[in-house]
Parts: sequence; structure tokens; C-alpha cells
Amino acid sequence: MIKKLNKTSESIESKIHLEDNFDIYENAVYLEEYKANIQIFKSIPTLDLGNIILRGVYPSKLDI
Amino acid sequence: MYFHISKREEVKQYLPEAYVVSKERAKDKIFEFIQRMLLNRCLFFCIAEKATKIPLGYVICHSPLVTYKNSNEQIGDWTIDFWLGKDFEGKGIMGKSLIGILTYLQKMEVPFVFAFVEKRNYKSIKVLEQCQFLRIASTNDNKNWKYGIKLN
Repeated sequence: MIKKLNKTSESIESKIHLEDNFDIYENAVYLEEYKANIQIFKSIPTLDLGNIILRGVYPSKLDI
Repeated sequence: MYFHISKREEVKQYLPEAYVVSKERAKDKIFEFIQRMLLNRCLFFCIAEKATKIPLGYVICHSPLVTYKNSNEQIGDWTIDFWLGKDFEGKGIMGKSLIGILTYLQKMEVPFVFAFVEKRNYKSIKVLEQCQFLRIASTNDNKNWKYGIKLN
């Protein structure tokens, strides 16, 4: 389950600040995170949530 | 089914990118989303009833490739858009779906997820807040709220 968040998260605040400066934002923070994020696309699961499921939609799953 | 779910006036109003006017356009739109997913620009999920496989709605997770300040190519954040068919609202389906996706993204070490929602789109705001998103800013045009959640 998702962690309960602190409403005054320093991380979110620092992120808002970084948005004002794209160079810092891109070069110092997000290039590395992006490299990690790209892994997500290699295996997109079907999420089984009990009475509903979430299916990543691919060309082979056009029965949507 | 995409057509029946996405032809709603509220989709037209709040998510014009997902709105379609005909079944033919619905097919084009699905292929557009699939193409974007194959190019690593979004995750496109269909919410379906498990027993019948009937689609109930959709969630798009825009990848960091496309979401920074409306750029098409620059690196930014994960952001989400979501919508349900009219008959499936008010049943907790979207909240449950978003929690499922957020849990998956958290497992995949995504640090933050954001959502931009029109200030008068009370239904979506309610869903986001139920999923522990925090309102963190107003957009420059003052029309939308920016919501965010820290996952890692």
C-alpha cells in the first residue's frame, strides 16, 4: 500500500522549487530518475484489484 | 467501448485529448495511445470488470518524456489522467484503480506522481484527495490545480 504522506513533505517542496529552474531540474535530478523510470515499460502487468482489473493496453488487447 | 465511455460531455470539457465523437475516432484514439505507449510516452490502462472484462474507464500515466511544461520531448514528471463511463461513477472504482496504479509505480521506484485538474472538476478532485494526493499549486492560468503524491 501507499505510504501515508506528510502534508509538508520537504521533498515535494524542493521539487516545486526545482521546477523554476529547468537546468537544475533536468541535469541534477531527473536524468537518473528517468533512466530508472524507463524500466517500467519493459513489463507492464495486469493489476488484479479484486472485482476489477487494470490492463495495460497493447495492440494484441484491442478488445477494449 | 472506448467510444461509449469517452463520448461524455465531462470528458470533452476536462479531458479533450481523450474525447471522441464517433466509433471511428475512438479506434484512432486507441491506436494513438498505444503508439505513445510503444514509444514509452505513456502507460495506458483499461479498467475492466474482472468477471465480464467489460471496460469501465481508463487511466493514462504520462511518462517523464512528455510532461514537463507541455513539452513533447523533455524530461519531467509522471502525471496521470483518468476517466470513467458515466454508469460507473460513485462506486469507488477510480479511487481503487488509482491506488492500484500508484502502488505499482511505487514498486517501480517512481518518486512522484502529479495530476492537473480543473478547479471546477470536483469529482476528480475528490478522487485525488481520497488517494492521498496533495494540492500543491495553481497553474499559471489559474484554471487548474496541480496535485501531487510522493511515492518514494
